[in-house]
Amino acid sequence: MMLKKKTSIPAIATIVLVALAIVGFSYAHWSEYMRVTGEVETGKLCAKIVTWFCNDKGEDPGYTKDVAKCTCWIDKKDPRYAHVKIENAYPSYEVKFTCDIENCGTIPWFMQTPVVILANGTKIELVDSEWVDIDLDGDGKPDANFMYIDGEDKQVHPGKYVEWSLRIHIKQSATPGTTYTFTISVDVVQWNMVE
Amino acid sequence: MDTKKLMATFAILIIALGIAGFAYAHWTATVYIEGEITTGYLGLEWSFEGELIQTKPVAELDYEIEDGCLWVNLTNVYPCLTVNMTIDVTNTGTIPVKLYDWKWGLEEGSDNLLPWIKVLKCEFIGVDGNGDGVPGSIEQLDPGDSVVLWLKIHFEQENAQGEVMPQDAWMGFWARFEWVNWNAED
Repeated sequence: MMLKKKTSIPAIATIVLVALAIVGFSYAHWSEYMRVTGEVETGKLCAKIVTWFCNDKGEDPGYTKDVAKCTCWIDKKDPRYAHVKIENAYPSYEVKFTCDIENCGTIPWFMQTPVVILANGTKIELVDSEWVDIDLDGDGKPDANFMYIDGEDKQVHPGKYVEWSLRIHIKQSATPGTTYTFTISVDVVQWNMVE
Repeated sequence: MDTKKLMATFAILIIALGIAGFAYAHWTATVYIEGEITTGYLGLEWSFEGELIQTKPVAELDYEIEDGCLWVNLTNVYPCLTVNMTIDVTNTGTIPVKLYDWKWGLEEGSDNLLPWIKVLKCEFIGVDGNGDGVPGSIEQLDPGDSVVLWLKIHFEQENAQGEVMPQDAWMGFWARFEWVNWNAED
C-alpha cells in the first residue's frame, strides 16, 4: 500500500485564509465621515456712466451768442464709454461736462485720478480743481486746458454713484479749422486697496 | 547649517512674493470719455465798388483784390473830382469777428495829397447776410454778415492853407485792418 504523499498546499491555504481574516478584521469596522464643503463666490467690480451732459445748450457759456456746439452721449452698447464732440470751437470757449459714474458691481470702489490719453499715446494726469495745459496735437503749444472736479465722496458703494465734472477751455494757440481727439480714462479701484 | 540657510532664504522669498502679490492684487474697472474738438476758423472777403463823378472820362479808377489785399488806384485825378467808394467786408468764416485795430500810412516816396482830400461821407452800413435779424458791424461781424464802408471823397482845389493841389503828383497809401474773434479782449 502506497502511502499518500503529504502536501503543503492545505497549510498554505490555511495560512492565507487566516492572514486574510486578520486583515479583514483590521478593516472591518464601522466608520462615519464628517465632510466640509465650501463655496466662495467673488464679488464684482463694475463702473458705468449713467448721466453725461454739457452746459452748452444754446448760447455759449459766458457769452450771448451761440457759436460753438457741444454734443455728448453715452455709448449704448458699452456704458463704460461716454463721448463728447465740440464743434466750431474758438479761443476762450469753455464748456463744462458733468457725469454720474455708478457702481454697478457688488464691491465698493474708489475713483482714481483721470488721465488724458492723446492720439500719439501720451498720457497726462489731471489735477483736481486745477487747469492742466494739454497739447492735443503735439506741436509743443497747448491747445486747450482741462480741469476735473472730484465728487465729494470718492468712495462709492454698490448701487450708488459719484458726480464728476470736466471743464475744457480752448486756448489761443489752438489752430483754426482743426480737429483734435483725446480719450480720458478714469480708473476705479476696490475700496480697500486705496490708502 | 546650510539647510537652515536654504530654508530661511526660501521663507523670505515666499514672504516677499506674498507682500508683492498683496500690493498688486486689486481689482480695477475703467470708464472712458472719448472726445473730439473741432475748431472754427476766421475768414473775411473784400469786395469793392467805385464810381467817379465826372462829366468826362478823365480820371480813372480801378482796383484789384489779391491775397486778401485790396488795391485801389486813382489816376489822372484833378481838382473838384468826387469819388464814391463802397468797400464791403463779409465774414466767410465760422466765428464772429470784430475789428480789433487798423493802421494806415503813406507809401515811401509818396506825395501827400491828403490836405486836398475832403471826406464827404464815411459811414459803416451793416448787412444782415445770414438772416438772423442782426446786421453786421465792425464791433461784431457774424458769419455770413457784411459791413460796408461807404466813403465819398472830394479832391479840393485848395487846401486849408490856400495852396493849390499839385499837378503830376502821386500818392500811395496803405491800410491794414486787423480782425479778431469777437470775444478777444480789447
